[in-house]
Order: sequence, then C-alpha cells, then structure tokens
Amino acid sequence: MHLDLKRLVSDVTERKQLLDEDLIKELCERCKEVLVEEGNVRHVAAPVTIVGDVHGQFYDVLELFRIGGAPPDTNYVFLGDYVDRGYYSVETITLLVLYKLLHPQRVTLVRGNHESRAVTQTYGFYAECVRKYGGAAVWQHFTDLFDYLVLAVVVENTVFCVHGGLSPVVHTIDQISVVDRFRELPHEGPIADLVWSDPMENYPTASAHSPGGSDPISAMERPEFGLSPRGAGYLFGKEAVRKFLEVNGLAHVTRAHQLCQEGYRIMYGNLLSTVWSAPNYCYRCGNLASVLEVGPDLGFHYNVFGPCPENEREAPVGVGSGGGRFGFRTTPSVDDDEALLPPATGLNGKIVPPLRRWDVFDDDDEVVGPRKSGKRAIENDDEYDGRAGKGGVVDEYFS
Amino acid sequence: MSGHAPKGDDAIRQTNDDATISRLSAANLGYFHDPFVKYFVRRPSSNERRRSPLMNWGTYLRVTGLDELVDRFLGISVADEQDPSSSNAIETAKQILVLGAGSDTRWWRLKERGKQPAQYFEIDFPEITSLKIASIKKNEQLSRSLGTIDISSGGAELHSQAFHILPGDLRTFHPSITDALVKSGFNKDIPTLILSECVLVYLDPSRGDSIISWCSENLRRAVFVTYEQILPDDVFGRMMLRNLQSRGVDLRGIKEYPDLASQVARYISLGWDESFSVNLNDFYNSSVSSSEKKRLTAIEALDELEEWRMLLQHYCFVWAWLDRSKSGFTFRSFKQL
Repeated sequence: MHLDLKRLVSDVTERKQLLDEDLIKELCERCKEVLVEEGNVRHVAAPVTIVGDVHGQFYDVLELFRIGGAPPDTNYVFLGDYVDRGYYSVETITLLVLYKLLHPQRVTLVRGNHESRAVTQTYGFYAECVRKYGGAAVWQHFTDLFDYLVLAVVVENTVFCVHGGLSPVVHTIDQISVVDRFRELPHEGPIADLVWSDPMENYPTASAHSPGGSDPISAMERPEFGLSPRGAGYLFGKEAVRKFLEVNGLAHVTRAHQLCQEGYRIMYGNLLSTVWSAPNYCYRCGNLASVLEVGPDLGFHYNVFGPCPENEREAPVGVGSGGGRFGFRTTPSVDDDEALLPPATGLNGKIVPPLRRWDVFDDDDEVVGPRKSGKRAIENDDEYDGRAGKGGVVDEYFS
Repeated sequence: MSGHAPKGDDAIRQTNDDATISRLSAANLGYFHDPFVKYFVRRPSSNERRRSPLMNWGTYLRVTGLDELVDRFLGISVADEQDPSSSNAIETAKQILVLGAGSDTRWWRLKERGKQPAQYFEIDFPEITSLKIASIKKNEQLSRSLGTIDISSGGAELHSQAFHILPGDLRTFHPSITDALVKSGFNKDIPTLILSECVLVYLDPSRGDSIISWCSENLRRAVFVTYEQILPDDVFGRMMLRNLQSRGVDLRGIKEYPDLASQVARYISLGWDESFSVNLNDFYNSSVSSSEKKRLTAIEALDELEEWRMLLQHYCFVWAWLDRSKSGFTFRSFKQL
C-alpha cells in the first residue's frame, strides 16, 4: 500500500481528520518495523529538541511545532506520555507516528508510563478511542505499538534522556540495552523504574525510607533510592544521579514525568532537568510548558510557551512562524541578556550544559528553577477560551 | 459551545448534576457505598458517567470527610437539658438541615445503617426538589424507607415522618425558609447539624453570612459543616474561576473567604463558639490510612501527585459549633477531623 505520509500529516494537522482504523493499523505496523531496529537506548546527535509529556493536548502540540519547528527542520526526542488526560490523544499519537515514519532518523519516540494498556484504560486513551472509533481496535493497534518504543536516549554521549528517572538496579547504559522491552510495561523492575521514578530534593533523608521494617532499598545497598509515593518506580537523589553520570561518562539527565509550573525545572546543580510540555495541564493547572533545545555545541535552551490561543487554533503548522506566544521567544537572540551561555567543561571532562544566567539557586547552591519572571501562561484574558463547553471543564472540579 | 452554557441560577443548579454524576462514578467503581445515587441520574450505566481517577479519589475524600463529621455529630451523647446535673448523658433527638441538598442520598445512607436522626430537612430550588421528589415517587427503593409521604407545592415539597424536602431560595433564607422549616417540625432547641456542601460559596458573602448568623442566633446547640473551594488567587485558583465562569458558575463567596483562616474567622465573627478547618490535601495526608489507600489504588491508581495536591488544596472542610444550653455539650471531638 502506498501511503502519502505528507498528505496524511496535513489531513491530521490542518483538516483535523481522524484516520481510518485500517490506515491506523497499517501505520502502526510500519512504525513497529522501524522501531524494532532501534536499540533500547537510542543514540542521537545534537542539535535536537527534547519534549516532555504532552498528554493528548493536540492543539498545544501544534503550538509546540510552531515554536520549535516541525520535522525535519528540527530533530526531536519525545520523552513519552503522548496519550491520556487531554481530549485529543488519538490525534496526538497519530501525528507523532506519521512524523516518525516520515523522518525516522530525526524523530525519536521514548516510552512513558502512560504508554501502557493498564494505564490508558484508566486515564482516558481507551475511552477516547472507543468514543471516536466505536470500538477498541485503534487502541489495540496503538498499545501494541507502544511495546516497541525505545526506553532511553543518549544525546552526543553526554545527555541521558528518559521518561521517569533512574533505577536502583540499573548502573550502566548497557544494562538497559539488554532487557527485552517488547512487552507491556511491567509493574516493577528496571523498565518500570525508568518510566516511573522521580528525583527528590534533599534526598536521602530518613523520612523518605519506609518506616519500620526492612527497607528493600538498603537490602540492595542503594541508599540513594527510596520508595516512591506513586507506588511504582523509586525516588532518587543527587547522589544517585551523580553516580550514574560518572559511571557512564555522561554530564546530565533530562526527564519528564512531573508537572512543572514554569515548564521546566533544573536540579542538583544542573545535573538533572525536568521538561514538561503540556501547557495548562488538563486545562486546569495554569502552568507553562517548555521544550529543551540542545544546540550543536550542547548549549541548553529551555524554550517556554503557553497554551494555544483559541483564535489561532485553525492556523496551519509552519516552521518557526514568528515570535513565541505571550512574549516568549522562539529562538534565542544574541543580544538578549538571556542568551545562551557558552558550554562549560564538567564531569569527566565532558561538556556540561550551561545554566541560564537567571536561574535561581537555593541555599545549598542547588538550582531550583527560573526566577519568577512574572510571565504567566495567559497574558491576555480574551485570548483564552478556557475550553469553554468543550468536553465540560466543570466536570473536572468538585461542585 | 459556550453559547449553550447555562446562565445564573440554571448554571448553579447544573452543579448538582455534576456532583451527582461524580458520586455515581465513584460509587459504581466501589470507592464507597451508595446504592441510591443511581436513582437520581439519567442513564446511570452510560460510559459518560465515569469520571477521571483524580475526580473519583476526590469525591471519595469529600464523601468520607463529610460522613465522618456527620457521624461524629450523630454519635455525640448529649445531657438532658432538663436535668443537666445528671451524670447520665442521654441520647436526645437530633436533627440535620442540608442547604442546597440537590440529589444528595445522605438520608438513605444513614437510614440503611439505622443512624438517621430524628428529623432531617433538605432545602433546594423547586426545579431541583421537584425532580428529586419525582425520582422518589418512581423508585420504591427510595420511597419505602420514608413511610407515609405527603407531597405538596406542585410536587416541589415532600414531608414524611422523619424526612422533609422544602423548596426555597437560600438568598431569602429568613424568614421564608426558616418559617417553612419551623412549620415542618424543625426544632431550634435540639442539637442541629447544618450542612453546606459547595453551597454557601455560590451565594453573595453577605447572604451566606446571614444564614450563618441566623443559625447562631436561633439555635441552642448546633454544628455548621461546610465543604467548599478556597484559594482563588493562585494560578490554579484563577484557572478554576475562569473555567467555572465559562460554564456560568460564579464562586461569589470565594474572594471574601479565600483561605482557611478567613473561613474559620467567618463563623467566629458570626457568633459561633469555635471553628476549625482543614484543606483536603491535609485531610488526605492525615486521615486516609495506608490500607485504605491500598484499597483505592486497587480500584484506580493515582499516577501522579502534583496535580492531585494542587486540586485538593483548593477545597476545604470547615466546621463550627455552638452551645447556648447549660447541658455542657461535648464537641471536643470535632477539634480534629
């Protein structure tokens, strides 16, 4: 079957079409053929833009491509959580699959904890598929495809990218490479940890360990890890990150998985960052989003953006089509005092991604996030529609 | 779509539908026991009736917290006012008044456990009470526990031996609703619990204040329990107000009483003896046991906590009590939920 993938992309992005179930099945089969050739840990070159959770917020994904550039003009690593929560998970994952097929070398899709049959049955993707297609077949095609997504990415042998975080049983990249990833996400073990874990400030402390009884983490002699309140994966601290980077000759960990009000968050003296790419998450949290643009010299730029304004929802996807929304720049300018700093040499002689000049440090010299610029996702009240009446936002509050 | 959004009172009335569906969703999944709510929902088995896990957990918390407050009130031993020197506390009759009760099933759930109070009064708009009474008439599972029923006011009013539904507009609480209550057997002297579950916040603060004042001026032993939204000024709160406004719902009282401290101060300043509050996030952390969390996680796992905490911090329980009698009401157990 010949597929005009470019035309399908514009069907989805401009005409907002839902593709036929047969077509979805074919796209997923082809995508599996591409992904099966990729190792669990994919190595990519800079420049590349790293994207965090998007959770079915299709219009905001289109906004993201306006701001960051569309493939193939920009290389992308998506860190997972493409579906659930937002109202357009089908359109979102369809578009990303199309881009992956169109530009397999320039687009990398990492698996998040929501790329799972169990989770998507609870958090909306399954229900959305049934609602839009009248049955579960499309959900089945996509969730079968999810089994093929890679587990992690390394950018220029310097930056480790994963959805959740680190695992107490994973010391080296090679250990990730040898697991069998082609299955439903397990509840525990290294794969589960990579998609579920979270970094924690000021860890380890006594309170983070399970009270009383034998601590399973100590038994494994990894005191830098503790039980996670999510019930899957672990909490880990600076020491865990430092060790992992040192052992593997890397400089930085980038991950997603946790909501950041400012769109991103830098921790542990810039050893780890969180990128969050779903603005006004669930149409409720009022947060900013960002993508992490890694330059050819491994300079880091967190490109921050707000939600798609209602009145531009029908605009076609373009490449860098102008200034960022709500006063945020889409590309760094040299004269701007918020411009990129030159990269510094850090751990193991590796290049360390530079800090932005205005990052805020806490008392322990840890970077805790950007100085409050006062910019919020919604600059102009009139522009934002609050998803009025679209899927019943009031349903999502207690009344 | 925004053209279809209801306005004014209609929008407020619709919040009852939203709340009822939320309760149905959580009950259906097994979060708590409520076999009665389905009688108040059209097409209760429809897939549209399932809420997100965050909402189900939150509804569970709300129901559990309010149930606990109500149970504590009902369980309090009250000394006989006629014989206060007696060391034997007796069970005096108690009553509950529910403002803006909507499709609440609390009375049936209490009755099922044999815990219903001597008298129970519900107030809501006639548009809502009519629908509720129609459902009661239609479903034997609801009507049989009421005993003899007397329906009036064109189907908007219902009286039975222990349970009463009165139509009314809370903006004119006194004297029209209060007179109707007294006529229906409401006793200002016996221990009374007044429940406002996302109700006062929809009223202008002065009207809410006058309801709270009337209660403190006229009741001898009372507890006022409120569940509603707070924190309108942070990012989440502003988005919440905007989203609700786009559906025609105004939280008129939230700016006046925007946080726990001002909520507590409201009741004290309006004549209550003591007042307490807790936000739902603190309630979740302190009052839900780990075995209960395990049970809920087995129904639906909460996959992330940042949004959960943010949402919960914007809701609170507030409870206040007063005692004008000489019977030495023991309300201490209310200090900590």
